Amino acid sequence: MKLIIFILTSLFLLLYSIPNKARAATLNNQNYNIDIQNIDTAPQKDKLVPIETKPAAQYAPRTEVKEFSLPLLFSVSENQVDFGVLATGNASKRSVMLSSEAGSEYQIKAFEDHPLRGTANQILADTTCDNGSCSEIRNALWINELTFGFGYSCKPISNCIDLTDDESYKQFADLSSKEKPQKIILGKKQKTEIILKANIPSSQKPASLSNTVTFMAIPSF
Amino acid sequence: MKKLLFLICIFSLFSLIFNLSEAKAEGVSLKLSPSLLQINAQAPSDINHAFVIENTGNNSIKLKLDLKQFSPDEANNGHLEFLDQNPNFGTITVKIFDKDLEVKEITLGPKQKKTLNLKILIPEKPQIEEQTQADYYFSILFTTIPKPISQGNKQESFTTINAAVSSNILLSVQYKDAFDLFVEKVTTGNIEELSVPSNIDSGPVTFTILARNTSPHFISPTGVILIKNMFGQAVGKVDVDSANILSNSSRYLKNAVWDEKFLFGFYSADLSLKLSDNGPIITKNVKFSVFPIKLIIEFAVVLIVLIVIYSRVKKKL
Repeated sequence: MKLIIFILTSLFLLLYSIPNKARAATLNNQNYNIDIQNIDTAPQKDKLVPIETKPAAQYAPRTEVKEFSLPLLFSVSENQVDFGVLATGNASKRSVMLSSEAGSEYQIKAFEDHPLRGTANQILADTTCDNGSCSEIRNALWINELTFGFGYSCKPISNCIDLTDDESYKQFADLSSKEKPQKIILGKKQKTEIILKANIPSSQKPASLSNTVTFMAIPSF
Repeated sequence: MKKLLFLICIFSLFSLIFNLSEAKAEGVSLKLSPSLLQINAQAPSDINHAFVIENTGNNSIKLKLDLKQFSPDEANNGHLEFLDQNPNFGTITVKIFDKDLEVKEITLGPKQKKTLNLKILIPEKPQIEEQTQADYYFSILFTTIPKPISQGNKQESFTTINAAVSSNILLSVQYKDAFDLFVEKVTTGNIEELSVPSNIDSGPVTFTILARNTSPHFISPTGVILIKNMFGQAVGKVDVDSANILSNSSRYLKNAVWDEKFLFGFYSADLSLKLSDNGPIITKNVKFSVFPIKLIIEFAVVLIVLIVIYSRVKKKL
């Protein structure tokens, strides 16, 4: 046993002690002749070679676009609402159905370009309701047949903002008076009947009065 | 038989006469997508994005296209208020194209769908030299242009109805600084409110969260609420829906509801809100109790009645 170990160890040492042939090109051969004057073997300081680096943040501009593709659907049942010939004490009510659906909550804002107005500048002012208090932001009851003006209500009233009673009305925001379009409905999927009401005072002669009301469906951001 | 046929004819004729109603102007039906675009851009950039507008109604319509800048409205619910002034995008150009032509009006036939391109050209330099960041929030508004409708009776009054749909765009732009570098966006904010209703007698519990973004750019925070009972054990987890909060504004984060029905005792809820992918994470805690007071009172009344009955029965015996 001792003999085997001795032989193996010797063989091992023999194998690893044989120097490897240093492979190197010679100074001279049939292709070239290297002529060295001096070989400087003194240690040298590393020369700092400037490396051109771009600062980490200086990369190509990038743009990221995220799309929320759920569509907004909006329908209005009429292009025009005809009140007929307006007569005192006989308020005219007409309906427009609004239907809307969106992936996120939306609002419907509304405004009028101006109060109902005739070609000879006759004006039917926006209603202030029975107690004189309703506006584009405040509702009030409008039941009295002698109360004149132009305004809106809706069904069901739970769909509309700030309407508290079936017979309560508000004005549309009047763009000609620089009033801002007002939120009238908030929701995700709704059908709402908007009731437009117009009544002229006894002092006003029947005439053709007109205006434009715009309903805007705007998704939340 | 002949008499019967004659009566049917007369009846049909009358029905026809009295059912003839005045021809009404039909309404409008529109569909627009996408409803929201979020763009984070580094200048210079040339952005093209498609929008699809569809006339789902039975009549041709003409639509006017407008760009309107907006700010969040005061309700902090993600609804917007259009700004009165004309849009101002600094050096950035925003236009809408139908193929290669810039458009401000389009006509759609019945059931017609049209794809338009929103083109945003962001040059390298901002309007103000030192500006490294700018946000712009605007909507593309499609409004019907009504057709003139002839009136029969010249004394009749009428209201023309217009419909409009819009899509919202949140654009955040970074510009290089004086060292020709894009400065990393620094996001800051805080939780202005974390509360629950008072006097809760049972679940589910709705959390009210109002988050404020004090950064100069919009953020889309995500969050989670961890609920512990009075023994410190985690008993619930509520994921908070992400929502966009515009720069220097607040927004209520909705639908944070703990759905557990049977609850009793003292609880503690910790909200962790991550303001952006690179943080920071902000936290707030609220403590609340749930005691079914009505049930306890009813139980007590029943118990007292039972005790009284028992003691009276015992006396008689």
